[in-house]
Amino acid sequence: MKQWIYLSLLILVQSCSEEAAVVSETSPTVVQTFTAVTQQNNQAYEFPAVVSAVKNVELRFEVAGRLIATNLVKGKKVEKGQVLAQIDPAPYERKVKDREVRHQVATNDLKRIQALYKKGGVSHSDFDNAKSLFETTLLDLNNAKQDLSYTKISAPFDGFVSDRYVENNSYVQVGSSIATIQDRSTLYFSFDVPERIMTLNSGNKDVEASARVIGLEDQVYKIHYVEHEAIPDPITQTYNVTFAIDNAQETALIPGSRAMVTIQTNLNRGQLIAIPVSAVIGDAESGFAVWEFNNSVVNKQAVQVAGIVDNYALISSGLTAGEKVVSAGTTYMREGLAVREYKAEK
Amino acid sequence: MDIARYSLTKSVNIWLLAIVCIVGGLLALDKIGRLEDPVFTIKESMIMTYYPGASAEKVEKELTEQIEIALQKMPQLKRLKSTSKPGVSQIRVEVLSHYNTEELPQIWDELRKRLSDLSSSLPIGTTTPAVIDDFGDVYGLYYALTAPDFSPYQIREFSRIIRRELLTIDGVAKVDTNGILEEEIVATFDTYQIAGLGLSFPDVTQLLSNNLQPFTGGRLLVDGKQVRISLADSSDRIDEIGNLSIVLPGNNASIKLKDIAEISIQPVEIPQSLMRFNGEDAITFAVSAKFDVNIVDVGKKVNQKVDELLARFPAGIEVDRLYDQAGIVEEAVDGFILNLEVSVLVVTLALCLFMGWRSGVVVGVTLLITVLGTVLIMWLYDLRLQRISLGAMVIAMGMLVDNAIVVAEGIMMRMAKGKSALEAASFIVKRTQWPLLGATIIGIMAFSGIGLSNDATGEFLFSLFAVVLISLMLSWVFAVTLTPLLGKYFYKVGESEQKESAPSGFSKGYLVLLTQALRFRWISLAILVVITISAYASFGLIKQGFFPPSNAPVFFVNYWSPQGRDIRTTEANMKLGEQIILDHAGVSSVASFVGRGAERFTLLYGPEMPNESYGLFLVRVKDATEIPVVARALAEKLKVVDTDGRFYMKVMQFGPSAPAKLQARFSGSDPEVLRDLAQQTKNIYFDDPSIGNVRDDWREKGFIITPQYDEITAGLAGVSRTDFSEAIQFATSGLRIGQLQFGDYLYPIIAKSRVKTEPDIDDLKNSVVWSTSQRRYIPFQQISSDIKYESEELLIQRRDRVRTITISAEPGLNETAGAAFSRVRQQIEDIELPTGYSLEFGGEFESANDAQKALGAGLPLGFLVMFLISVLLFGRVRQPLIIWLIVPMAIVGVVAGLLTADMPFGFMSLLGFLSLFGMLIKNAIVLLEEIDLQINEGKPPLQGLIEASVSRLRPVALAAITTILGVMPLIFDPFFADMSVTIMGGLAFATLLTLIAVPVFYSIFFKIRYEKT
Repeated sequence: MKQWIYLSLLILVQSCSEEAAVVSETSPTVVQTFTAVTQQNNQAYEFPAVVSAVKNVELRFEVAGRLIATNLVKGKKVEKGQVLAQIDPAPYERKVKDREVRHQVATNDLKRIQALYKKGGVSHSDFDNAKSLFETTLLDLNNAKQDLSYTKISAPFDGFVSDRYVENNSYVQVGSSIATIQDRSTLYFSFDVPERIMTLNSGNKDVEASARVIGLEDQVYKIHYVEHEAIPDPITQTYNVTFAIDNAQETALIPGSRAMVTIQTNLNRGQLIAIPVSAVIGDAESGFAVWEFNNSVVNKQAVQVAGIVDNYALISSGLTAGEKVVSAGTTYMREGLAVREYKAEK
Repeated sequence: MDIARYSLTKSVNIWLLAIVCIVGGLLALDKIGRLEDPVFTIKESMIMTYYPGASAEKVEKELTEQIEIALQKMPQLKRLKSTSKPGVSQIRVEVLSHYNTEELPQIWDELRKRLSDLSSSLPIGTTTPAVIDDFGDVYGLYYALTAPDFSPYQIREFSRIIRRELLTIDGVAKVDTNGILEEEIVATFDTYQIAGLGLSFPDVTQLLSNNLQPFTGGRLLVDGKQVRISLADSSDRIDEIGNLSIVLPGNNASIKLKDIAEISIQPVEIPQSLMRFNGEDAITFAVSAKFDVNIVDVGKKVNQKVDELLARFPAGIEVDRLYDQAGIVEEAVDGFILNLEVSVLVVTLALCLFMGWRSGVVVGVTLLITVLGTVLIMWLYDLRLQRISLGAMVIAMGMLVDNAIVVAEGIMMRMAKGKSALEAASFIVKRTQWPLLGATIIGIMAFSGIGLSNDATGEFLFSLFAVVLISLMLSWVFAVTLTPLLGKYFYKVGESEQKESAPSGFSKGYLVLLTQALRFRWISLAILVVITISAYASFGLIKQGFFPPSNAPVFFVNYWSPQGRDIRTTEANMKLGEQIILDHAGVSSVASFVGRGAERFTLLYGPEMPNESYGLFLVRVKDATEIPVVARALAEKLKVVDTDGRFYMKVMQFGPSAPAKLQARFSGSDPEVLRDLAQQTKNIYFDDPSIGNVRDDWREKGFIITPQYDEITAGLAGVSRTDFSEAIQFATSGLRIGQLQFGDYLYPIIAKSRVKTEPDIDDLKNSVVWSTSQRRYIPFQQISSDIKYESEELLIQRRDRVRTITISAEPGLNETAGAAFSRVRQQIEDIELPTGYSLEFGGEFESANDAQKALGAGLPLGFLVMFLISVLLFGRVRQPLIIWLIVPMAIVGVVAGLLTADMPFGFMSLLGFLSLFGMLIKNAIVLLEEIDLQINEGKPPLQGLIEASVSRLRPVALAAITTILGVMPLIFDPFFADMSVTIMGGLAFATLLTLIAVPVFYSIFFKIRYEKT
């Protein structure tokens, strides 16, 4: 509409002066521009990880017997020294008693023989016999006492009962595990890293890592590097890498749950230029170009796209920061077109 | 042969003929088929072949090219146009225009045969080529259903019922529904969860296919009877999907599908196309009627049925008519019949005025019976009443009376001189029947260019020739039979020595003019020559056109955004635009089409091919005359909607639809060179002050992201390309893992990765790939070395197997395409073409050229016949020579008329011009015959010349006046306006020419000197 009014005006003007028309014919097109900005080319990776506890201790009885009490509720927090299971102690108490009696007898015998020996009443060998009997019985007594103490299992550290394998009143063999206690003060995040990324980042420990648990994505935990395997998995050719979080008690992390680990490497791989994707147009030979805004005209400039982040294209060459590109209506640009920059009204 | 004597003596036969014409004509008028435009087959079909995953270039090379080569051998082929897009090949096959509608199915069959022979050698992964041969069908009735408060499922049910019911109506051939919101079942999985479970997509796909297929039961023999054992279908199988349990590999635990996936029914994320009406989602119904039925009747029945159905449905459903051909046809045909009646009346009144009421009645009745007879014959020959045939009738109207006038007047004069009716009739008919027949045939032959033209335009206008042929032949028959008969009843026998009636002022004036012209015959000749030459010289001042714009209160707004656009963005922008248009004053409704054009609801509209970046508004305004104003205002307002896209206004134009008015095509092999040539052409258009809407059909290149597939690591991990491709689909747009038949609807089941918002490239990078052989998940980046960013061609257009880029543009709003084209033509031709590249002009220039060329092919024959008849009639050389010397002078009136009325000289004016030749020759023949007769009867040459001229003054002038009055109502019809101006202006001058130039030439040729008597 405006153009038409303009044109009809033009015709009117034209009758007066021929030159006027020529000037107004090149009225510049208004374009929206975007000033290219730099963007650090920091690689961020994301891996699915399995959360595991640092320490998992299996509880086993060193003596056999029937369980008479257990305090093993799975998932329950236990404190160091807390009694968790007890085997019927009666046989072991009796055994202690028995050994005590035998030791008492041996002690008495030793005292008597020692007195006699000093007086030369008995031979040196008898004294030696009594002495070794005393020591043997003492040893037996101590063994029996230890066995008695083994009828109770208490928590070796502050942790959680992660699993229980026997029920109360069942008979326990020597050495069979009855439960697992986990130490959750530190948690491990282990994941498989493709060899490509591994090679690219070998030796680079300057990373920032964080983890999110699936189902609780809003909670982000900071984690740190622990170790990595030196031999890849034979099938997937990936390396298992472990990161850890300390003081994990207060978190919602549960060993065995799945987490997303994000690793941001601080290794600088040069700078990229970010411009809106809408500013980029397809060009010859599967390449790309932008319309560069050069003081009232636009020129085509070939660029290389290295990536796309959100709505921005990352340009690796062809453009430097601070240069202005046309960011809308790129289809209607042409080489050398006279343009004027659009300034938003304030 | 004394026809008049026969008809007067055996008058019963003539009466019988007249009654047959009257009764039959009235009957036919009621029954004859009615249409908006002539039946015109678009001799095109489309071949669609899908090649999922292939780039446009791959599609072009491996698929399109193969098909094109196979089709190239077909002799019926006129043109092959192909578009190769990523994953799809579209080929439009155009058949030579001289194949008629009946032959087309055979040609399509041959096409299919060739394609099926080819299909075995097409690349693996392509679908069988589908031939869409009803692509050119015109749907006359177009409805939009809106039901904002109902679920997609309900709306689908409503539309299904409506479609089914409409198809039961007698005369309905096809009902196409569009815009039905597609739905899909989406199962969102958490990749890591199923990875932890060791489940894979093949497992889930297997589970679904095992449980969702239709099951057969068994049967039992019970006491001699068969009893079927059925497997009860679950009532809601969508719920059922969630309850399917899957066994975890490696142990006997099982898990329900709904525990590992969220299952929901959703509208498809990427719809094919969307329709909206007045701001609501809509479903469109396009109804086409059968070939041989009356569209008005069918339209009424369909409308009635729709109303009935709506009464049955709950409130809140609306059905609006987007286009109602039946209504338009009824209105148009009624209007035209009114025009016809007005013409008959005007002509009769004019005759009464000039010839007295008796002659008026005689000629008027003859005219009426001729018209009715024409309708009868049209009906018998299956010609329809439509824009063209009705227009032809009005054009013929003026010529129809000519024969009757000559005969009637002759009889009247003769009877007035005391001769009996029989004698008078016999004398006059014998004297004039052959000249009249010859003149009539010449009149008909003038239109033969159209009848013999085998161009699309020729087919469109064929009925014009047919109607002229029928009506003019009938008019001659009735003029020599019925007119004498009527004359017998109406004319009185005068006394023998009839007093010479005082010559009227008009004929006195003519006599003076004629004598002066004869006296200074060389000067007269010089004047005539000068006028003619100056008319030819000023012909260039007339605007050139092809077909005029339509008068429907509808216009189109085409929205084109960059080719890579997603349909969802296009939809969002279309919604914005729609609101702007709806808020605009003068707009009564807006239908929006996203991703494709509307159905071909009228011949004047050519739908756009499906394209995600395309949208169309069909804007209906309250008043058709406001279209230019509204369109201009909207063009300005819509600019804010999308800075990357453009809105192009387009008004409907009569004649077969054309894509753009200005087109230039470059053909060659290298896309980069073609793009460069296109850019140069575009710059020329851009630099032109008034040309707008410049665009090319290869459009913008698109982004392509190629994740590289690392064969080595993939091999180690046991990942196949299928696994890789499925992982990519799953992480991005969704992986199809099954389908569910529910009622008549097939729901695809899509597995998608659960991500926060829209999946992006990072989601792809961080995804995992299932290794089918190792039954393990492998990180995506282990398999894919890198992601490459590239641009690629999205549309590769080919024309007759050569890559072709077409640059289209539209002229300014108040200039014709011809004017704009002449400004840029030279510049475009000056573009340097590398070897192997060629330039062609398309658009209106090409179609007008083609039409005129086709017309030109038929013309020489027509003119030859006309010339031969004129020679045969006279049996001499000089008389025909006079006639053919006069013919070129007809242009004077045409130029004067068009310049005064400021109308373009288009295709229709060309036709008018041709018919003018016929009329001019006819008048000249009648006059020359009379001069010859008078001189042969022994009158002194000069006296004979003048008396003959004066005696012919009335019939010739009358014939001209009646013709002019006859075509006058057409001035108000936009389609015929320029033609009617051409005929009116041309004939007015031609009449003068005949009356002055013929005697002048005669006197020169026969050396009749003017001597003062």
